[in-house]
Amino acid sequence: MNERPAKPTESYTFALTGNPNSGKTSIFNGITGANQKVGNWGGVTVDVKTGSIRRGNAKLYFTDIPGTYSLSAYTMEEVVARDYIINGNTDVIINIVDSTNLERNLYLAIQLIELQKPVVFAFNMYDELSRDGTQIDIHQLGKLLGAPISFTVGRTGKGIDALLDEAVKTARGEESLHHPILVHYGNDLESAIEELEELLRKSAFDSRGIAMRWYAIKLLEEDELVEKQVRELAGHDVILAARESHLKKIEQLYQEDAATLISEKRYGFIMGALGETVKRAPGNRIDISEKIDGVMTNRFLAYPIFALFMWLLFQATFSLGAYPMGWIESGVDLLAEFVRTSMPPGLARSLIADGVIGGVGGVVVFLPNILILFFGISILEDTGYMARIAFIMDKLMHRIGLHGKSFIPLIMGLGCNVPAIMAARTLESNKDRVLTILIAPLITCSARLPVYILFAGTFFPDNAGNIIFLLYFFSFFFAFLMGLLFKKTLFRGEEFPFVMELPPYRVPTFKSALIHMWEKAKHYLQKMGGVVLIFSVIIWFLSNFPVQQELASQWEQEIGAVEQNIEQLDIPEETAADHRTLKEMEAELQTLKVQKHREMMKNTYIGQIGQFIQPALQPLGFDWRMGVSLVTGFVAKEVVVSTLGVLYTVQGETDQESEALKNALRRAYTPLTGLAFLFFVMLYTPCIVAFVTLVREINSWKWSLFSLFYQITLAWMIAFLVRWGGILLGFV
Amino acid sequence: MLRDEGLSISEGYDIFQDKEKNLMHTPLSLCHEGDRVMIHRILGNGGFRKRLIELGLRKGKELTVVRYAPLRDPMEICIDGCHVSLRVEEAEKIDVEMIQNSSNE
Repeated sequence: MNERPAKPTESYTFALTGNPNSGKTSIFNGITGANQKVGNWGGVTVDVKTGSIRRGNAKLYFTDIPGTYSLSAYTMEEVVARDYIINGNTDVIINIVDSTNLERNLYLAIQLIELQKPVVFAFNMYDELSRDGTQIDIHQLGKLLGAPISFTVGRTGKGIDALLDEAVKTARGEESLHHPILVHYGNDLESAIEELEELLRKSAFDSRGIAMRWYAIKLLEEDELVEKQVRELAGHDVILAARESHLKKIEQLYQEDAATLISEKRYGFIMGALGETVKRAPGNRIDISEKIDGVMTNRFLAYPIFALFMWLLFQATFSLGAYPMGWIESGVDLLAEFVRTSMPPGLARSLIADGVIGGVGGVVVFLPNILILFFGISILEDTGYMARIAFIMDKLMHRIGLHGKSFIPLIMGLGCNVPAIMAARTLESNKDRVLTILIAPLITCSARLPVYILFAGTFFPDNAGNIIFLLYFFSFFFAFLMGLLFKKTLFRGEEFPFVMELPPYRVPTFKSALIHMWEKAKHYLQKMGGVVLIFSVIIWFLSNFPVQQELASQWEQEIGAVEQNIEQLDIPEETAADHRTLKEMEAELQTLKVQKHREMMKNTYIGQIGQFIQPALQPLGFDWRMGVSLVTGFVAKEVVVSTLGVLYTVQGETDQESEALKNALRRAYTPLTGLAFLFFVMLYTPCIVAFVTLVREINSWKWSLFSLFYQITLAWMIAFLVRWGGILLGFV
Repeated sequence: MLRDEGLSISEGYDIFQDKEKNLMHTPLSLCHEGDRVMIHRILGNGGFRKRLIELGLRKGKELTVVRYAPLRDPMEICIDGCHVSLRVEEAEKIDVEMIQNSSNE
C-alpha cells in the first residue's frame, strides 16, 4: 500500500450466472480472489456469495449466484438464482457460458436476454474448445445476441480482464453491441404474448425493471411463480382466462403445449445463431471423460473403485491425521502444564488450564482430520467423481426411497452435518429434500469422532478401529433404515425425476482444494473459537460452583489418612503380604480420590442438571456425568469429550490429560455402557448449529421438532437395545 | 462353424426388424448400450419435460445410449457431447427412433 488510491467515483454491481459446471465459481474467484469453492457437482454454490474489487476509479461488486439451467426455477437453488436475477439490484448480469456446450448453455442466455437487462457473456473453457479447432465469430454472435462476448479460461484466469472491461463498459451504458433482441415465437404465440403483455400492463403489474414480455412468455410456459404473482393482481381472472384460451388454441393447432413450442423456438434461434457463427472442426473429439467412465462406472469395477476411494479417504483422514493429532495433543498438554506451573493455584489457574486450554485444546486436536477429510471431499467434487457416485448409487438409494443425489449430502455428513443439510438443496423435490435432511444428521460427522476415539480407545483398545468402523457402518445403516421407514409412512407419493448431468472429468486444481480445505478449517476454528470456548468456560463455571469448602476438607482428611498409612508401610524389605496391603491401600486411595471428586461434582450446578435428567438415562446405564456431557453435546458433539475431561480431571494428575481421562472412564463404566453411550452419541441430535441449519433449510417447525424428537428417541432406544442385548448375551 | 449358417438367417431377420422399428417408436428404456437414436416425443408431466429440454433433450435431437449403471438403472446418455443420466422409468417416457442399432447385442 505505497500509494493511496483515490476514492472511487463510481460503483457497479454484477451478478454472475450460468449453468452448473460452467466454471462460474472459478471465474468469480479469478475476479475477486475470494476464498470460495469450485465444484463440478451441480449446485456447490448454495449461498449467494459476494466480493468486490477496485478497478480504476470504480468499485465493482460481484455476486456469485447458484448455477441454473434455465429461468424455470425448478430446484431450490434455481429459485434462489432466478429470484436474485429478477429482484436483485444488479447493473449487469454476467453470464458464464461453457464454450464446449454452447447449445444448451445459450438456452439460459436467451432467457436472460429476454429479461432485457444488460448482459455480458463470458465464453468460458475456451481453451478446451479451441484445442479441437472449433472457431467462433464472437463479434457476430454478440451482435445476434445483443450483448458483448469475451473468451475466458477460468482455471488460468485468462480473459477475465477483458471481460471486466466489457462489463464496466456495459454498466456505463457505453456498450454499442447492447440492444434488445427478441426471439420470434411464431404468429400464434406472438399474438398471445402481445395480448397478455397488454393485460399485465393494464392491471399495473410490477415488472421490477424487467420486460413485460418476459412475464407474458412465462405465463404461457405455465410458470408457477409468475402465476402466483399475477394472482395477487386485482384483474388476475381476466389475465388467466386469456391465457387459458390461448393455451387451448395453441394446443389444438400444434398438438403440443405452449411451453414445448416456446423451447423449440428458442433452440431454433440458438441453432440459427450458432450455424452462422461457429465453425466446427471436422472429426471427432476424443472424449477422455468417456474413457475414464468406462472404468469408473463399469459394471464390475464401479463399486470396488468406489469402495477403494472411500477407504482411501478414511485412511488418509484418520490414520494419516493421527500424526499431527499427536503433535497438537502434546502441544496443548505442554501449554496447560506451563500454565499450571507458572500460575499460583486458585480459581484463575483452574479456569485457564482446565476450562480454556483443556476445552479448546480438545477440539483443536481434531483439526488435522477435518483438513484432510475436506481436502478429499473437495477433490471428489472438483474431479466430477461425485456425480458418478450419484449415478452408481441411485438404484440403491432409490430402493430405500431416496435419490441418487441424496448420497452426496450423506457423504458430506461425514465431515459435518451442517454442509450436509445444506447440500440437500440440490434435491429438486421437496419431499426428497425433507427426507434427506431428516436422515442426514444420523451420519456420523467429524465432531462425533473424538467421542468415538476416546471411548473406543478406552474400552476396546485392541479393537478401536473395528469399533469405530462399526459405528460408521451403523450410522449409515440407521440413516437408510429411517429413510425407508419415513418414505413408507410419511412420504408416500410421486417421486421426482432423476435427470442429472454427468460433467466431464477435470483435473482438480490444488489451489481449489486448498481453498476449500482452508474454508472448512476456518469455519471449524471459528465455531470452536466462539461457541466451544464460551461453553468450555460455562461448563467450567457450572462444574466449579458453588464452591464447597467444607465437603472438600472432609474428603482431604480421609485421603490424608490413607496416604499416611501408605507411607508408614513403605519399608525397604518388602514381603509378599506387605506388597498386597500396599496394593490394596493404593487402590483404596484411588477410589477415595474418585469418590471425592464425584461427591464434589454432584453438588455443583452441572451435577444438578445431570442428576435432573439422569433418571431418564438410568435404563441405559448412564450416570449423571454422561447425562451432563450429553446435554453439553448439544453445543457441539466434540464438547462431550471436553465435558467428560473437565468432569473427570483429578487435581494433581496433570500429565497426559487423555490418559487420565481414559483411566477415569475405565474405572467408572463397563465396556458395554461405553458402547451404549457411543450409540447414543452417534444417533442423537448433532449440535445446535446443525439444528439451526436444519430449521432454516427444512423451513417448517413441525419437521424440525419431529427431527429433534425422533433422533433422541432413536438414540435412547438403540442405546437401550445395545445395553440390554449385551447383558442378555452375557457381556457385562 | 454352426454359427455361420445361423448368421445369415438371423441377419436378414434383424434387418426386417429394424425396418419395423423405424416405423414405430420405441421407448428409450428399451435401447441398448451403443444405440444411436433420435428423440421423437417426450411424454410425462410438464416439469419433467421442461427439465429435459433445459438439458438439451428435445424432439429431433440425436443421442447415444452410453451405458447403464452397474445395477442396470439409471442409464447414461450422450447428447451433444454432454452426458446426462436418467432413470429407466423416466427413459420409458421418451419415445425414440432408431438410427443405428448397436450390433452384436
